[in-house]
Order: sequence, then structure tokens, then C-alpha cells
Amino acid sequence: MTEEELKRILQKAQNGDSEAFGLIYEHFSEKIYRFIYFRVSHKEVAEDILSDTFVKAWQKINQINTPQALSGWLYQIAKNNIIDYYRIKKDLVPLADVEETLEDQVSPVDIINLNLQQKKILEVLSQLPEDQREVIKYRFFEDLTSEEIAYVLGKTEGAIRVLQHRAILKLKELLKEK
Amino acid sequence: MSENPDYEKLIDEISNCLKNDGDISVYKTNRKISPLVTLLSQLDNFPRTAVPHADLLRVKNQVLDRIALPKMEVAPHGWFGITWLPQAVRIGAGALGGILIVVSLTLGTAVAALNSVPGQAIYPLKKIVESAQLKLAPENEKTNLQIKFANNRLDELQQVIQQQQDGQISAQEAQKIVADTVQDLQKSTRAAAKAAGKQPKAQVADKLADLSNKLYIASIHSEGEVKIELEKALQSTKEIEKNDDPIITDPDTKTESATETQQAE
Repeated sequence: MTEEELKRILQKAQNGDSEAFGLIYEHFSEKIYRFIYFRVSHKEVAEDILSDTFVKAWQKINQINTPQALSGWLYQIAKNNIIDYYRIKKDLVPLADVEETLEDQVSPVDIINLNLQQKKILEVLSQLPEDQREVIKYRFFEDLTSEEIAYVLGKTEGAIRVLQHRAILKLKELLKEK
Repeated sequence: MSENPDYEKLIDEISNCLKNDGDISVYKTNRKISPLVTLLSQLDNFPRTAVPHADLLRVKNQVLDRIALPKMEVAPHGWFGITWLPQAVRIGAGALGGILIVVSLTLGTAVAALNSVPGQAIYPLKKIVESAQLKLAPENEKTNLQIKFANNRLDELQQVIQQQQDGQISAQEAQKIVADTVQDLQKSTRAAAKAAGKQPKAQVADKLADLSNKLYIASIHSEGEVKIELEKALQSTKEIEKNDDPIITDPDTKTESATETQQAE
């Protein structure tokens, strides 16, 4: 879907056209589902949270001004729904604790099939500061764009690019030492 | 602010090239950036965890079902002002046109009602439309429809709580609306559980569990009397889930709130 098409469809959806919203769902659902699945590890739960994500998106769709922001915004809603899911499961765990442990458990990478160099990268990745590590994981292991990562982490796109830049430089340094 | 815009741009260029299966050899020939290229290449080639295929079409239909209004066809207009017709026909056409206008307004109002929340003048029409849907639905669809209505009550509860938080309605008004809506929610969930019949228990239990989760979230975001009402509703839904609800397990009991039943005893 081109940006123009997405813009047109978004406007229609904002005017109450549920068919247009269905097209938005078709365009984004696969990657949002993957994002959710990595964090809940259960297909049916991920599907339910996906459903809730898009229903909430429909309710608040007029908050979005540009089609470029749509993707990141959907990720943000999905993340909030995942946090709510864990809060219910763990019975009133403080929000910060849930967010912290949630990202540590995400494993989009198939550890069993890594080559030697990739294993080294994974080792040194754990030595990066948390925010740099998260950006690398989102960017390279989950294929999120800088804008999408910005929404998920609640930072500006510029800040994400800086973090990515620093993370890659740091990774290079650490790998050289190894 | 970018620290080193050229370097960042290079990272983006190489990453995009890798993502699009482009030729990175031109970058590799540059000895200065070759290690960067190798690193980005390795990052790009990390094997990914297999993700089970989601039933995206089912979820899509579920989403559209939860957000959509029923499509209503409006009778065609265009009978007015046809002066060349004989008078009797014109009078008949006028009467028919009048009926069509009334029907259009009613249907249009019904459609508008489906977006209304408790407390609005048009809300009772929403309940009438839902009753009509239920009456017309085949037996095997009634469970899903009741759960859909229960979800509607939940959405309304969330909107009412939001209205109270925005100061659009008083706490007292909110409490009254929430109490009535919770009663309706309980009726729908009980009716869904009763109508389940041949539908797999796990499927219905899953949907009820989903309702419980949403009620729990709504209760977290509320306070005071509203919170108490929501917690009552949550308790009742959990009982229905576990099949412990006294009203469902005793088929002779009339459909009323569990509290009223206990009070009567």
C-alpha cells in the first residue's frame, strides 16, 4: 500500500468507514500480531490482544494526524494492552515491574541456530545499556522502524536514531575487544 | 539531535540495502566501514523465532463485528414533485413519501442510537434494536450475540467512567448509570451462558474470561461507588464462568441479580 493510499483509507476510517478500517487491519495486523506474540507466547492470547488493539484503535482513530504515525501508534496500543494483560495475570503488580520484566523475556531470535559471530553479538548485546539494547532488538530482530520504536518507547525519533548509532558503535567496540 | 548525521545516514543506507536484498559489496570495498557492514549484515541475518500463524481473518471479523453498526437500507427517495401524475397518484405518492421519510428517520435514528451511551435520550432505542436482533437471530447465534451485547455494556461503562472523569457527569449520575448498566451486563452474560447449549464450553468460557479481564481493567481505572459496582459485576461474571452462578444452576430461578436473590432469601 502506498502512502497516498494509506492516507486516503485513514481518512475514510476516521469518517466512520469500517471497511476502510478493515483494510488498515489487513495492512498492519501481521506485524502487530508478531509483536504481541513475542511478548505473550500464546497464539490465542495474542489474537485476543490483537483484537482489543484494533478495537481500541478504531475508538481513538481520530487522534492520528498522519498515516506515517499510524503504525507506531498501533504498536503503542498493543504494548499497553499487553501490559494490562500481565497486570491482570499477576494481580496488581506495579506497572514499572511488568514493563521491565516484559522486555527481558522477549525472544524474537532463534538462539539454537545462531552462528558463532551471532552468538558473540548476542553476548555483547547484553552489555549495552538497556535503552540501546532495546533499540537494537526492536530495529534488527523485530524490524521496527525508528518511528515505530519511538512510539513504543515513548521517545522522539531523533532520540531513537542517536541510541541506535551509539549502540552500534558500542557493539563494534565490544566485538573488537572480544 | 543527531550526533553524527553522516554516520547515522550510512547505517540507515546499509540497513535498508540489506533489508531490500540489495548489493552491499560497494560498502564492503571501503576498508573503513567494512566492519560496520559486517556487523549490520550479521544483525540482519539473525534467525528468527518461528511464530505460529494467527487466524487473522477470524480476528478481523471479530474486530469488525465489535465496531460495526448493522447495515440498514434506506428506502429510495425521488417521488416528490412529479406534477404531471394524476392527482390520486400524486396524493398516494405523497403519502408513500411521508411513510418513507418516517421510516428513514426511524432507521437513521436507530443507527445513531447504536452509538449512544446510557444517560442519553436515544439510548433506550439501542436496547430495542438489540432485542430485535436477538429475536431474529438463529438459535446457534444467540450465545455470540449475548456476549456481543455484554461487550457493548462494557464499552458503555468505559465511556461513562470517562465522562465522569472529564467532568461531563456527576459521580452520583455515573454511579446510577453504572449500576443499571452492570445489571444489564449481568443479564447478558447469564443469558449467554444459558444459551451456550451445544457450543463448546471452552469457547464460551474463554469469551467470559475475556469479559472478566475487561471488567477488571475498568474497575482499576475507576473509584468510589462506581468501582464497587464494577467489582460486583466482576464477581458475578467469574461465578458464571465457573458455573457457580446460583441463577443459572437452578433453572427454576427467575433472571434477576444474585444480590436480589440473596436478599429475598
